[in-house]
Amino acid sequence: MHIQVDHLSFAYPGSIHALQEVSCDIRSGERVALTGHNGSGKSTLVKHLNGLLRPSAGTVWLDGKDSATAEVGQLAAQVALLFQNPDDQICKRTVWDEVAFGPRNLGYPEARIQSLVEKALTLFELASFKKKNPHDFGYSERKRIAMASIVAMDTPALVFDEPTAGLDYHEITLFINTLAELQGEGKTVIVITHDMDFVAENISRVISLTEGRKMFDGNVRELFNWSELMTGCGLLQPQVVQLGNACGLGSVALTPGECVDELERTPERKLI
Amino acid sequence: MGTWRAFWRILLPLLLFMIPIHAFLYPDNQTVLLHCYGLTIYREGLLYALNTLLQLAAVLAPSLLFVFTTHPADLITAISHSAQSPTLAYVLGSPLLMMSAMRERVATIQAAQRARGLKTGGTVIHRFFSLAPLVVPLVVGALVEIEQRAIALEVRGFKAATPKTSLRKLADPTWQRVSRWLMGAVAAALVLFRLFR
Amino acid sequence: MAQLETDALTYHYPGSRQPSLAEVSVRISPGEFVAVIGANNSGKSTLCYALAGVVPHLYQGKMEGRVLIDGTDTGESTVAEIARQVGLVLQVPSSQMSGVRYTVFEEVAFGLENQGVARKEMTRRVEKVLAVMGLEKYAACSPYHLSGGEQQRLALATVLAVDPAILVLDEPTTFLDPQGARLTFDILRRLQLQGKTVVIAEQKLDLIAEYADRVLAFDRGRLVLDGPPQEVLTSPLIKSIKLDWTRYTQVAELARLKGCWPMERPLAASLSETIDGLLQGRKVHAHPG
Repeated sequence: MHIQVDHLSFAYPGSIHALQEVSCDIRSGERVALTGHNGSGKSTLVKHLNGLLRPSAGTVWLDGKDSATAEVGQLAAQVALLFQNPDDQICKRTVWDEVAFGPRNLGYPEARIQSLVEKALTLFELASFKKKNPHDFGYSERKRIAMASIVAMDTPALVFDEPTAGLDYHEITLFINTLAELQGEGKTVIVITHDMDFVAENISRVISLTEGRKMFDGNVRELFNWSELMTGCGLLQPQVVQLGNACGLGSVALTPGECVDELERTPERKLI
Repeated sequence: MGTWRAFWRILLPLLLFMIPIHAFLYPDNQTVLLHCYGLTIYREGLLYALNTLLQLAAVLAPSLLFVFTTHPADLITAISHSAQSPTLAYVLGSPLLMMSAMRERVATIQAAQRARGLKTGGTVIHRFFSLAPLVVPLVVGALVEIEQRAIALEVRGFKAATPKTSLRKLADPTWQRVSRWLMGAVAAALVLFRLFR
Repeated sequence: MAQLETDALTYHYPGSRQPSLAEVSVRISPGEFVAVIGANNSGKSTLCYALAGVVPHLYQGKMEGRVLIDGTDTGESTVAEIARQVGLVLQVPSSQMSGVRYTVFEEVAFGLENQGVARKEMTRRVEKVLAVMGLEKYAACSPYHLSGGEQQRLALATVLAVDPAILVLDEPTTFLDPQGARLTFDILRRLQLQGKTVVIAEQKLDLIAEYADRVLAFDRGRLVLDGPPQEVLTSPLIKSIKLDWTRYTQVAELARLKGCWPMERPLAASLSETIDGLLQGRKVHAHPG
């Protein structure tokens, strides 16, 4: 799904401008990270993509169609949104029903629901829990269940809000594998996150908001070079970038492999 | 001043509504007081309306006075000190602060479920069935939070056997204490009087 | 005598067949900064709860073995008594707000009121703690108007006000941004330098490598590794318990395979160790012999 945000402005009733003239163009199948400090407008922006909020000014185009002409129910079939707290959405008595909640609401045929739910459960290693009550599990399992329920909706675009918070290494790997799967299916993915280690290794384009305005939209390597912006967003450079900077490497390395390659390439006199 | 304004803002419309209705239409109306413009005002109805309004005023005035003059923090401190159980003080005091947090949660839950295609609105039956996906997360989330908060309170010595002190100084002058006892005694006497009349 | 000790600690939550902790024996000395790592559900939180007496007093369940604080069995004290020695900070910032105090100042005083501290002393301690935690400007604000990171600092402040010798934190940086996480560790180090013992369960292995003196690694309730960060975090066993090396260790290993890492030097876990190793290896590589 091609998402175009065109001079989007939004103000909550009675108060401040949460978004000011934000524009961006996300191609179909692209993967983008959205960063910014608390209150910078990230959540406000993504809520415009599925119609939970309507613009005060400007337009959001989804595959060329103005989102303002569609209801939230219709937009939910286009853009799935994962909220930060899984307890804000878990409402069914079995994991299966919980993951099937979204697809059922969207009116998919039962056979399609079956296959989508099975697939989502497998992606998040929940298949053996399908008959259990989601509330019997700890936070990280509940988060995986919530993620599975979003992925099962099979929408052309997905937005994840802080998906890695509270997950351990193995669970983050499951999420990364899911992203690869979604990419293979050509879906557009937006991830709101401040986990820069995750971003460095999985996402190449970052959009950064500050006080409702877009401050940065570009390659991840350029963002990591802009330390004032990163600090302003409460971010820290990924481990590998910190290491590279401390060693005086010639260019920004994003993975351990790149770091070592760059180290070999950099003449010794340039190392700190 | 705020108390009286609130008091009359609630009572006045009721007064203007109840007095005519009962004066004209009360079922047990018998004694005529006044004829005017073809309508008859009866004694029984008027007395009934006035009686009900006075009872309402007797409850309303002190309640409003209480709400307008007592800072919730002082209320909680006072209850903590006089109640035998800190839990009771907590149960009475805690909803005050958490109400707005809970309101925000309701909005977030509704947004999260709509984002998964839940249709709110429509027929009454439909609205009824779309309640569970809104209520379950609210209740379960509240329970989860209560569990964590209970731990946090306990490890902050909430249930300590030692007598508690308080940061806020609650002024409780003698006249106030005496008035409390006096009011309690008068209320008890009135009840007894009513029972044995 | 160890300040904090567990002796063959085994614990089952009520109704659970699998133990959350199995035969855990550990001794922690005063002033140590101990990190507890492991995949989710490996027993990290349960250990934190056991050290603060939450288990078995608040969760009941079945507990075998003992937890000793300065030689006293936690089973024989109340949670409120243990709270004077062990301060517990939990994962979710907002759940730790008492809900019955209208300002940050009063929130910090809450624990002191419960302990029966006199008003003048209470005020003095609260002001001191607010200064230590950098929260003075929020003293008159409602706890619910603070951001997540500020609330977590407030939670730590309320615990510090009682001045416990030991701080136990259960994944306190989970919902904080990276700078907030680093700030938390900075504060904990400062507290350690003031003589406090710190036990922190965490997933952020890079920060642990930098700040902790000792790392305890758990897998399904069992303590599988216990040692300094450099040893534990670079152990091959880490990968078998569903964790991973820090990126720094990964760089060190790749550098070693390419001959850019001094052969006799063990793999590094923290940023500073890795920088040293790489620069040393580079010089050796550039000027062999």
